[in-house]
Amino acid sequence: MRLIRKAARRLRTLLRTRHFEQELDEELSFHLEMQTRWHESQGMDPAAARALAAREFGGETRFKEAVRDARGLSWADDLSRDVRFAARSYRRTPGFTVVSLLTLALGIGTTTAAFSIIDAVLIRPLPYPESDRIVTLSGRDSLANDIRTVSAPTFHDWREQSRSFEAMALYATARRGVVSGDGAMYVETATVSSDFFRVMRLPAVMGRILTPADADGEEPVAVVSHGFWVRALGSPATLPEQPLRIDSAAYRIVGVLPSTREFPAGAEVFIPGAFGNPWRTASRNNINFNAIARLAPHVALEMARAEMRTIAARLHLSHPEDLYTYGIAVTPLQARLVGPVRIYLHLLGGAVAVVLLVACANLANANLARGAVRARELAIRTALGAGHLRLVRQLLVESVLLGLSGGAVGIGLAWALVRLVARAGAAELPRAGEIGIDATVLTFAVVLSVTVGVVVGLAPAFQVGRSRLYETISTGGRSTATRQRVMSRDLLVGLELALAIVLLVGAGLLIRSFRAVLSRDIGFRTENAVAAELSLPSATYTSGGSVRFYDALLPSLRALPGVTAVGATNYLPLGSSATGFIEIEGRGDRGDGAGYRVVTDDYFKAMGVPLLRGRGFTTADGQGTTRVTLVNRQMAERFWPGQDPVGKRLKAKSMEWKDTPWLTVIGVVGNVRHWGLEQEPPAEHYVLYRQRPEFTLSMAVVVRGGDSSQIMRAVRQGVRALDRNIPVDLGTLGERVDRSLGQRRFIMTVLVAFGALALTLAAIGVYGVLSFIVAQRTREIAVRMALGAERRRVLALVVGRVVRVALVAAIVGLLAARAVSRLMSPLLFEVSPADPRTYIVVTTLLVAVALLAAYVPARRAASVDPMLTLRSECG
Amino acid sequence: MPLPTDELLQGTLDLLILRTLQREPMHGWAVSHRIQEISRAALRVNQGSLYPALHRLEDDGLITAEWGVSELGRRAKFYQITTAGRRQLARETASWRRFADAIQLVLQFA
Repeated sequence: MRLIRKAARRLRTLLRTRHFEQELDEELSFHLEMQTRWHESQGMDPAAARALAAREFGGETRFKEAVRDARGLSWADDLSRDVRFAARSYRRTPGFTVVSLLTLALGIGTTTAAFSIIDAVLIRPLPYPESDRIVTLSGRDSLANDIRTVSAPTFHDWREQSRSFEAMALYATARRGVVSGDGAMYVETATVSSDFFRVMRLPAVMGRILTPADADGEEPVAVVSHGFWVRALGSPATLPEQPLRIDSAAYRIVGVLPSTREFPAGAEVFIPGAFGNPWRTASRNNINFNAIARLAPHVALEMARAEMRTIAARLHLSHPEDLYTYGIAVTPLQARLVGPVRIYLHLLGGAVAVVLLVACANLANANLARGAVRARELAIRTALGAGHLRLVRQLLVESVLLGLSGGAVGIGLAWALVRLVARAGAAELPRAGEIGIDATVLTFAVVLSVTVGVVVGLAPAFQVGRSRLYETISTGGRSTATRQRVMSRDLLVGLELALAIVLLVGAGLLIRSFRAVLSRDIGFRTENAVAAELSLPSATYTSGGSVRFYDALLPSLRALPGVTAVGATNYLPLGSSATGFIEIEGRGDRGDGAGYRVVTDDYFKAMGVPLLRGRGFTTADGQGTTRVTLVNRQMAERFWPGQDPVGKRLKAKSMEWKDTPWLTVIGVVGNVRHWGLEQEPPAEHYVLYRQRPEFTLSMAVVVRGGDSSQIMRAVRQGVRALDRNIPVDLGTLGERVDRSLGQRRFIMTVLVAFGALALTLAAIGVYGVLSFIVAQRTREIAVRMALGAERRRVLALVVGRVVRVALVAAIVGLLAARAVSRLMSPLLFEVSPADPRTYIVVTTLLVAVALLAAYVPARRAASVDPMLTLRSECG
Repeated sequence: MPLPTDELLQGTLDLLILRTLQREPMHGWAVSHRIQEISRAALRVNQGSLYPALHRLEDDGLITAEWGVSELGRRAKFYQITTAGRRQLARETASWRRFADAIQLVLQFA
């Protein structure tokens, strides 16, 4: 408290410096006058009294200085002098200044950008009141795996039996066609139970949130996100009259939610769901829902977990046949949302920290070089009476000034980077909308800049402490390249090289992983094919109607120029999928599972999935004929090892609604990595859309061949001609595969970019140190050459030094990389963290770059002309 | 020969100033004059230490200053002790007494 008041007083004085000086003058002249008067009153004549008073008064300037010191004013004076001096001295060495500023800006900018991302995504609490009390609830299977979802009946049991929660809600998300005004588009919708907004404690910024009455009400209502309100509705001042049409039902918009609330991810339209009957009595294996809850006041997470454990045990006893009642996972919502990206962000933070360290080492080195060059200047100033502390302070002021200037540029860079990431990462990164440069980030950047400035400035400041006045001046400032000093500079360069190795090894391992992923066969041909995702509203399309729709659309697309095949499926690869229980004839009901997909006749041709055995679907297979199915190779090998599956029969037990008929296998098709390149292909079987029309409301149409932009236009027109209220999501298969690699590509790019940056900085460091040493030792080299040393020897002298430093750095760096790469193993794919090839390539690269950086100064050393040099030195 | 206050133990001048200001607000000259008078001219306060000390005490919040009109009819800066200053004075006085007693004992019995 006292300190704060004191600081406030000092600040006040500082801000009114001129005023303060005037008052001080006035106070002192008053004193002088009083003293004069007093002497007069003692009987002196006025002139003598004045002279005596003045004499007694003594050196006015000296004690004015003491007064200013007492007020902390002289400190501010000196500071502003130091700052001006520093700015001048930077202007004198523009090359050094620009390189240092850029290095700093890169280091601080990337670090600040990474901090703002990590802070927004990992650290900051979710933007809901007491968001740390929100948890997700989900079931566990017999292996105790968190299945992340729950069935409606199980959820109702949890809610009725638990006491730990203030509110508990169920929700399901789906991409659905939404018609607003004339536009039809796909929108992420969330069907939520009545307590959803109580759990989230979300108010409406306009209108109201959903209430329990809405679920049973006559009129369908919806609440929309702030983003939807802006983007799709054009931010009207009042709630729009016009309803939203979702699946042909008209939903009146009753409220708008606050902005930056992105949960569930991407959900823009919220509609009430009852989740009562018939869901109450559905199968407990129908795990299509998500559950969230808010912990009741004074209930700790562990208490809730303990209670849910006993409930899970009870439910498992009463429903032993159910697959997902082996436990209940209670996970804080934030951990659930950001968990998957945590490792990426940690890696990003680590990479950025390494780059910053390299940048600091580089700057410290450059500063050392500059300090050595300035040693003469500093020594002269010492000789002229500047205190040691004063010089150290001068150097620190210079560094902090440089740090802050670099930081200012860095903040600009960070701002650009953050915008880039927020835009590009919107799809990959949870909470991307919350990333930005705010007060916390700015504070971080400023503190970082000052810290970097001080750390970097300390190196030459220590040297000032050590340098010997006489030596420095008498030798023209050259003897400063003492052994100790050179050692510390080699050490810094070595540190840079070692750090660069760590990053490069990480980048190398990720590149190798990426190549391993890319070299895998996804199972279909990605080039030259367009996919259009469609969703027909169930209210206007009966199952027969949707078949007729595709039967009309597909042939019209097949007729387009260049098109070689057109097919459709209910689940495209690299998206969602359905897996169900199957029973193989003759094997008994053993709880086997397999993927289940509905396709049109030409789907495999359109995708480029080969038929390995038997026949494909034909027009002869239809509604009334034998139910047929195609299995993939994975399924054939798993369930009929060593046999021909053609002609065998199976039942898709959880996929058929009424009876479960036998499906006859008519052929085997190639494997498709439906879950992504890094996953093994699942066992799957395909059924024909005409035989399962119930599954044809949402289909993705694949068109192979032709010009993709023309095809996309034609698809849009074709769909519009049939039904103008059906939105179309278009893309190429190549983009789809690309997107599935987004996170891996992102982190690889980041590490490669930072690795390259670190290597460049280290190379600059090597170059800088060598140039400096060569310049300092020109005389020694000249003497050696005059005494008969060959140029080759001189070259070897300089290069040998770099090789020694680089090799030691490589060994240290490789050991560190080996230790750190272990942490990366979850991100590696078919590559060992100790992959020798990566280590060898990186080491070679590093030594090569170090030699390259050494080349110019080494050449300069070798081309020293002994006569010229010695003459200029001695003359 | 009067003893200049800068030759006193460190902190003693502060103590003297605080004690002088205890009764009433005064300007700088009056403070030095009062100290000289009370000490029967044994102590001479040097301006070179007086004003830095006054400003230091003000900076520390032990005294405050205000411009007022002096006996000459001229603007002068009057210093006044604060509550914190009074507390400090009490503390310093006590410790000065202990110190003086100790010195006294040593001089008497050593």
